[in-house]
Amino acid sequence: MQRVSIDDPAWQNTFPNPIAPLDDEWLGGLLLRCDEVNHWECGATVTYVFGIRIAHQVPRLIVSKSSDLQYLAQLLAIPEHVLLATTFQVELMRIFDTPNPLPKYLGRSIWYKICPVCITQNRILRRTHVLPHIECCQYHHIALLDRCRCGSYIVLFPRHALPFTCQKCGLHWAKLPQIPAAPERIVLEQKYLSLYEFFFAKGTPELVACAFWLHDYRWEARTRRFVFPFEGSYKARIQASWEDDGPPRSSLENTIRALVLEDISPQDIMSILPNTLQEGGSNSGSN
Amino acid sequence: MDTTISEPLRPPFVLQRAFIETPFERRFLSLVRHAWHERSWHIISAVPGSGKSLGIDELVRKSGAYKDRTHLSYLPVLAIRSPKNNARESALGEALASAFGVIPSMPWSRLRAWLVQTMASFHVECIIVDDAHDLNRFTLSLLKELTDNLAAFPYKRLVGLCLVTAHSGNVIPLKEIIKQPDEIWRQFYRRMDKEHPFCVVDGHTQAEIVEILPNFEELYRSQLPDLRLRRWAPYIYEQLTNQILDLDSSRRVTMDNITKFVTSAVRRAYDGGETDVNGQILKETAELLIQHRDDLFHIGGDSDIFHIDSDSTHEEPPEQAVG
Repeated sequence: MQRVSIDDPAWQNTFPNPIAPLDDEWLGGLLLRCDEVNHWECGATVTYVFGIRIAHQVPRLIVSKSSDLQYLAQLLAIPEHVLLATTFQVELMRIFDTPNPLPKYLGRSIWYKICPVCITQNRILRRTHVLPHIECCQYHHIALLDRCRCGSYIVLFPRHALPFTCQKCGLHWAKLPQIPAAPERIVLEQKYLSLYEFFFAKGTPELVACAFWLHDYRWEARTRRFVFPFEGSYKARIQASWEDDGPPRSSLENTIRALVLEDISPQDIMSILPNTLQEGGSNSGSN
Repeated sequence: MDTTISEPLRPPFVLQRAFIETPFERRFLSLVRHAWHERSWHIISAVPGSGKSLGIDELVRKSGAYKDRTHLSYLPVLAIRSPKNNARESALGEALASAFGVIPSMPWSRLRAWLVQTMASFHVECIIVDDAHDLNRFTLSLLKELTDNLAAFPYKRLVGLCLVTAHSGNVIPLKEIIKQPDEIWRQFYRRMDKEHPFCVVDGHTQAEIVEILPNFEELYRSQLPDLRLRRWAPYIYEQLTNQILDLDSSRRVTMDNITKFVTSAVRRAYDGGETDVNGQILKETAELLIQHRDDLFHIGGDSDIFHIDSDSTHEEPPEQAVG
């Protein structure tokens, strides 16, 4: 719905200027944009919707309660699934096979980082920029920043500040320095991102178990400590994964770091999957 | 063998709700539209029940207002109802802000600035305050401040203002406040329309009732196929201009009284199995609504007198509201 007319009952139940998420936009950035287009002080939307100011609780914007997102969807007159796509809720639910994933399943070193060009062009905080290990913008090939020129850390929803500005010196994030990223860093992060995309699209516990098996296999082959027979090891790993009812053995952050260290790509993982898992994973991904 | 065929039961009577552009609405809305397009300021008054609020709703509904995701939202006519009980200016500010939809709570000092900014970005061209007789010097001052700020740099936007009041007799509410010699009220009065700052919109004449009644005939055609109300216009006019309803002896009729009289008569006719109203039904209606209106109604044993059919309450829209 592009417009809400005044004879629509939604008029009274929506923000004065409702917005819709941009492609690859993270929920935290959407909330800031909502503050800006409605001429509100920074944090007004997040405080109104989530009940508390969550300046230092970024994880709550990684996976969000359905009731919060339902209410925000009503205020913005958009379907809830569009908002879900600004979090990692759906992906983590599938990867870890749980209805209530925790932010730590994505990783423990989550913090938001700013690409000044993305801010200048679209006022967008990207989902990919929240991911662990990602330190440069793949769109603009510049370093992501977590500090202002004045030296203070960037706070997402500071009190008494305008959206997208430094809480200390008031500098707009669009005016932060644009530091070119090292080419080798960009190449490395492309590997990280391809694995993130792979798991977000197709990830299941079985797929993660396969990836770990491949990791262990490569590691054992490289260090020449021990090489499992292929079939036996694969089956054992899958079996162990299915029987494990406890918390995930590894966050996605750790899983992907381990795979990148062994130079394992999504194609490598796909190549060892039996046909049944490949089909199942593809279906999950398309949903 | 008994061959009597019982008449099928009629479904419950359904009140119809529709906006009727009555002569009063045309007079009232032409004045409001004038204020909107000329950005002029008026105090517009009419007796209670004339249809002011309904007319304002209709004007806002057709004003073309929208919220757009491109941030080019548009609310040319900002209409609110005045806060009651000698409200402070913040109460009026909150009423104005809520016209834009849901907004987070914020300190009054910030809301004040937000209102000006948002009214400018929504291209507000006319502010209408219904029940403006409840405004006081604080809330009137706020209206002046907001419109002054909109007219100043950087917005440079002139805004029309309609303070819509209910009156009785020849006393126009707010006129006494605005005609005071204080500087602020002189400024306020200076901003008002030079030719018609205070306007009273009259109710309906007998000829206008003749014009209105066919609308009711159309509304209830499906339930009373032979309904012909026009021929009863003189009788209805006489009943609705008696001393009990026409307190100011204006010989004018409000839409609220017409609606109540007609719907009551039509309901009686329908419940009695008729397909049209007749003189007896109108006489009973007049007696009930006018002459015995204030009589005490004793409810003894029969609790079914206020029984409401569940099906009819489910489907039945509320009676046409006129303010």
